[in-house]
Amino acid sequence: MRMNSDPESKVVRACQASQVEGLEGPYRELYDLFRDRVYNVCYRITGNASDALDASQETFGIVFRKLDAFRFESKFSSWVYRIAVNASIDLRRRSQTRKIASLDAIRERRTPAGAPSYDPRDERIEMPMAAASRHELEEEVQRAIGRLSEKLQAITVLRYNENLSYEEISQTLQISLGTVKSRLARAHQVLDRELTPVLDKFYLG
Amino acid sequence: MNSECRHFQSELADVLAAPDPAAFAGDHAGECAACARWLARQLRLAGVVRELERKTAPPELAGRVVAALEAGARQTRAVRAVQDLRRPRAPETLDRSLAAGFAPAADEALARELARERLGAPPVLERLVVEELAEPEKFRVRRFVGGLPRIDAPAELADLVHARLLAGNAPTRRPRARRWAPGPTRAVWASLAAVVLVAFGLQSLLGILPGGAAGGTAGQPARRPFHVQYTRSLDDLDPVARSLVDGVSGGLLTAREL
Repeated sequence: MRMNSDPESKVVRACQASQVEGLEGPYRELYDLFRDRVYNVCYRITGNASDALDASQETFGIVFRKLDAFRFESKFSSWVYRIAVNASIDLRRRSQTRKIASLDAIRERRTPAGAPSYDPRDERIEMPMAAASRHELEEEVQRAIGRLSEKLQAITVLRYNENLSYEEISQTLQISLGTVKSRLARAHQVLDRELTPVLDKFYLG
Repeated sequence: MNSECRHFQSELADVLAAPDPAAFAGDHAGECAACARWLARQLRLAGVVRELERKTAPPELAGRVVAALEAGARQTRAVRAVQDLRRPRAPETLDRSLAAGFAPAADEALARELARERLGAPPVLERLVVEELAEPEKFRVRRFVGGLPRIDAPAELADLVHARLLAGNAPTRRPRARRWAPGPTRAVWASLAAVVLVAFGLQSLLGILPGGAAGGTAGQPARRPFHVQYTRSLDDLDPVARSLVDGVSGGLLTAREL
């Protein structure tokens, strides 16, 4: 089966055979393999470092506690991503009030004046993300992602931030391939509405 | 937007996943300017989201994961320990005692067994109850005195006793109080004293009365008859005379009876 091609299967099996408690040996190796991936997903879904840290901690807690029960019926990374997405969504729901408050602050913000225009066909122009105002644009994009529904958010983050294929997303979220594609199309629809004015202002001035 | 446009836009996911989206989009993107702009926006959106900075886990995450794992392990151990606790067994007689409770006369042997299993009152309780019923104040005082702290003799007592012994006149025992015993001589003297006192007492009493003693006429004190009785035993005295003598003698008769 596909389990033989799972790059993490070796270290997962080592963890399952290990009697070590805590973050030692194979557990440490597994943690190092996934820490940034998990934290990144958690950050993009929760939208802030504090919640991302909590969600990441919860994700690894669940992963290590239930590792013995993992039967390689899916890709290990898909299992970890699923736990991370669910933990982040749970945390995001819990801090919904705080999110609403921050959205009010977003709307009051002004796009910085003098932002460079961007022509995607012109390869000589520095990518806008590398510009001085990259941080502010990132914040806008992050906020737009935050405004997506949980389902669309998970699809967007897994697809564009974690570069998962549609099949991997399907496996991770346990939904059909068609649902993955339709959700991604809907996510684009929302992002187009939310971000295009910002991007036009940002790139075209 | 016509049906071709809708069809084109519905295949966005496939277009975006293609290695060359523009080529994958086909002829429609080249013919329809609106769809071409739309595709450009979608590609730009995908690029912007994709270029978001990848966040790296902060160093404190490892510590927090370790702490969470340890807490989970502690919780697991605690649950296991509680599960392993030996459950106290009900006494073997419980079932039978319950049955006997519904039919008390059914099992006398069980009743005796249960009686043996009961905690008994300490033996001292019976004595205390008897004392309380008999002479409560007396035994309460005794128990109170018995509960007083003992006071050690001062150190100089030994020196004092030693000095007395060396002096040779140390009293070996405390002199006993002399008890008043009514011997014959003493009784006679006491009786005489009583009679004299009574006589003098009555005479002086009659002398101050108007009319003298019994049978006095008007203007003379009445002269009262009196009676002289000789007795050898104080017990034979008239109670009135006895009280009088006792009062005159300063309680001598009462002291004798103590």
